[in-house]
Amino acid sequence: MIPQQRRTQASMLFLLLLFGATNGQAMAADDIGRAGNEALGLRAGVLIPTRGPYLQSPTSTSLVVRWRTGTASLGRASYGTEPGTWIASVDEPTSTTEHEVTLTGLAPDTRYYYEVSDIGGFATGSDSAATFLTPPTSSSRQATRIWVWGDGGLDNVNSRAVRDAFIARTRTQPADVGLMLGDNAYYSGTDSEYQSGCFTLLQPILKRLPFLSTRGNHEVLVAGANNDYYDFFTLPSAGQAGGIPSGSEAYYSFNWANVHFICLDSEGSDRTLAGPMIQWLRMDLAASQSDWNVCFWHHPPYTKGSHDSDNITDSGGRMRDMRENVLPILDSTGVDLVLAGHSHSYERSYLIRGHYGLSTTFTEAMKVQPGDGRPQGGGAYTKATNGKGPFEGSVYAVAGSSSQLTTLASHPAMVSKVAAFGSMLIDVVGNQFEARFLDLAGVVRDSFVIIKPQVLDTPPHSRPATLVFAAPQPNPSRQSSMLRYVLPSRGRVDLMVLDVSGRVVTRVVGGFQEAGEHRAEWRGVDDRGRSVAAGIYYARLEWNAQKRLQRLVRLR
Amino acid sequence: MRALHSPRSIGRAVLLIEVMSRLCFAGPAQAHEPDEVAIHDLTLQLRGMRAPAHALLLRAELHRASEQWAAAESDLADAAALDPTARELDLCRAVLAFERGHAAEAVPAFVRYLARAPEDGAAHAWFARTLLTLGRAREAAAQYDSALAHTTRITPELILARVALADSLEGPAVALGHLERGLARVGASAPLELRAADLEARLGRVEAALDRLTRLAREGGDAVTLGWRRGEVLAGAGRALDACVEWSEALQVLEQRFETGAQTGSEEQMRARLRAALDLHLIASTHAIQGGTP
Repeated sequence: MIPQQRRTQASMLFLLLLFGATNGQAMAADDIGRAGNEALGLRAGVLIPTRGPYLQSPTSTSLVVRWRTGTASLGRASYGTEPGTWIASVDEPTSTTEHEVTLTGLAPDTRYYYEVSDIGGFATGSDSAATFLTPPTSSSRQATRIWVWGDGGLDNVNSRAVRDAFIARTRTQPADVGLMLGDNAYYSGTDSEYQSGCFTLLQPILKRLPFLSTRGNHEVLVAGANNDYYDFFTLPSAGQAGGIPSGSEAYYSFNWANVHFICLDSEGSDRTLAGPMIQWLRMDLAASQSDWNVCFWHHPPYTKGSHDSDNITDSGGRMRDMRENVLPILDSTGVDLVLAGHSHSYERSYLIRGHYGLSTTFTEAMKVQPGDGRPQGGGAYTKATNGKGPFEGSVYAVAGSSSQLTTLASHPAMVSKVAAFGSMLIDVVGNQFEARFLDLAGVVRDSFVIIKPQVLDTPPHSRPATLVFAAPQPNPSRQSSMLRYVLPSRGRVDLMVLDVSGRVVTRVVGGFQEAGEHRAEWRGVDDRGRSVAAGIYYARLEWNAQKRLQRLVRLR
Repeated sequence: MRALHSPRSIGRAVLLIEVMSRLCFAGPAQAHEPDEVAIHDLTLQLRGMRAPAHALLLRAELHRASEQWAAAESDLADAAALDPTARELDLCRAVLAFERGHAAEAVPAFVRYLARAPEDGAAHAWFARTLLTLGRAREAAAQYDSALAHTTRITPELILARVALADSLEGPAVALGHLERGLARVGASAPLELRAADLEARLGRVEAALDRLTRLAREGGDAVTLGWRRGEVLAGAGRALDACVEWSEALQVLEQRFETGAQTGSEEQMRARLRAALDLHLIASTHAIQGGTP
């Protein structure tokens, strides 16, 4: 077994050696050397971005627009809710070729149109295709359409067909947000490779679909500015789009309506349990209040495609690390779907849980539901909990065939395997989650549906299984405080008030009580009926050897 | 000639060949490690090259990644014979020595490389790890400082490494300073805030530690984990009853989650820890009205 840290270091040096510090500049020169003035970003007095515009870090109220020009200029992004009618614009403070403008003050769930321009006067002109939809607020159950593009970083006849099949399929109902599963530009993620394999190939889509990405093994990091993965993307590391701030663009989360997306970095970040990424993951997942939770990263925990998740040295053990360290957390919190690329094929699991070992350790008991998840086939998967349902199972999909393809063998966790170029389209409509794999002809080669209960206003538990001691009301108080608690079953109850030194001031309740809700009033007096001094007190509840404590503040 | 251009194009060719071979549907599943495929293909390429120093460096790296130490050393020696001035030669030698457990041998090679490439932040970080292995913590700290100074893409991981070193060498106050500077550079980061709360608590700045944890909770952080941490901070400050309030609330949240019917081993452990802490501290802190145990 190769220690993860060492493998990470190994790849770092390898990549530095391969690509060096000046690479980006050299490649940028290649990019812009295509033809005359167009390479300078100018055509008949009109600014032509040599890259973009493309949309990043979408939140309900803001969005980042990025583009590149061949010559440095002061950039401006103008936007409005009608094409060509701009209600506001944002100017860059300094002249640059790498433009990045944050639009703020946007309204949630609203379609905007925009243009990018040079403050000096050049403009892209009105383009009704340059548009975006802001995410609905996370409490919204607005329908959401998601596109998933995996290992798509080669501009070839196949990737174009996959792209075009997606465009055709979504002409009447466009996607809202896109996910890139890494290896977005082969073979090393250089600037010129990103230009051709990502930004040019996907430009018709990128100017209208905000994209968020995870880093793959072919995203090489090199020294210098504007020449590698992290330079090309602006990712929501500060929790601005929902979720807990990670402080890292390698792993982050964001919300789109009632879906919480978590991006992890299986390539370069510490994958150990004690590392910051997994520490952050625990907090972020615990905080998610969304109906649906989707995780994505590059190296799949289960695959028998061009990579083998049973080979613990394959990809430096990254697939094993993610399976052993991350999956138990996802299981226990109740993630619905895990997306990965890396293997150049499509594989999709049953609704499963508890599988953290080699494929030989997979058992039937790990299938939460043994069907194929298709309403027309073995039936949709159903989950009992709206939101995170611990151990209710997850579906794992490998979708790394957007530009390359290999044959594949069978993994017992997988109910579907397809050796076809394609991408995934996911529709989330309220309590229903439907994912499809579209091949390059637009044919649906696999699909599954997960259904959760309809969201209802459920009454509070009248009799919880656990002891509940509610916060005193009012608190602070001058007169009396009401102490409310719920007993799961009959038992001996001791409810006392303590002072700050732990001395028992008075016993409010002592004796057996029936299951259910109980209330006891403390009037701010000690056991002899004398008013206590102002200050901090504690209400201590004990029932069947279980203890609870609440703080009380007594005012004069 | 820029030393790095040639390996880049070779590397791309290698990967191209790898991908092309896979496109030929050579067979199901994984027959070889990617590194092995790349080494094989690069070896074929090398036969047609006249002065393949950079290709040899690249192959040495691939061998190193596969822990084929002797082969890596051999390629490095051949590359050195062809182009002894190649700047990356020393970096390759240094990292190879470090990875195979010969940290002391790596040091002079790092020194030589960094003398020629002082702004290579990643190399400084490697050198720091090497020095740390040798117990030369203060020098490692200086290298981490250089790594941070020359890295535009600062990560929580790099900051935490420097903070850990500062903590062990100079104590929590200095470590907290490093952490604050790191936070200023990366912006909000939950892992960094948690570490900062620990350091604040050790410095006796209980309210500051609690504020950080409260802020994380307000941003949606896990109430159970943060409640446990707040309780620890309070108990450490001698405020056992306040700690019990925190643990009590955390326990309540956790047990309400259990009502969904499923819990993880770690949640079970947390429940046991919370209950034990409550029992211990509440019993120890509660005094009867007139002495004795209530």
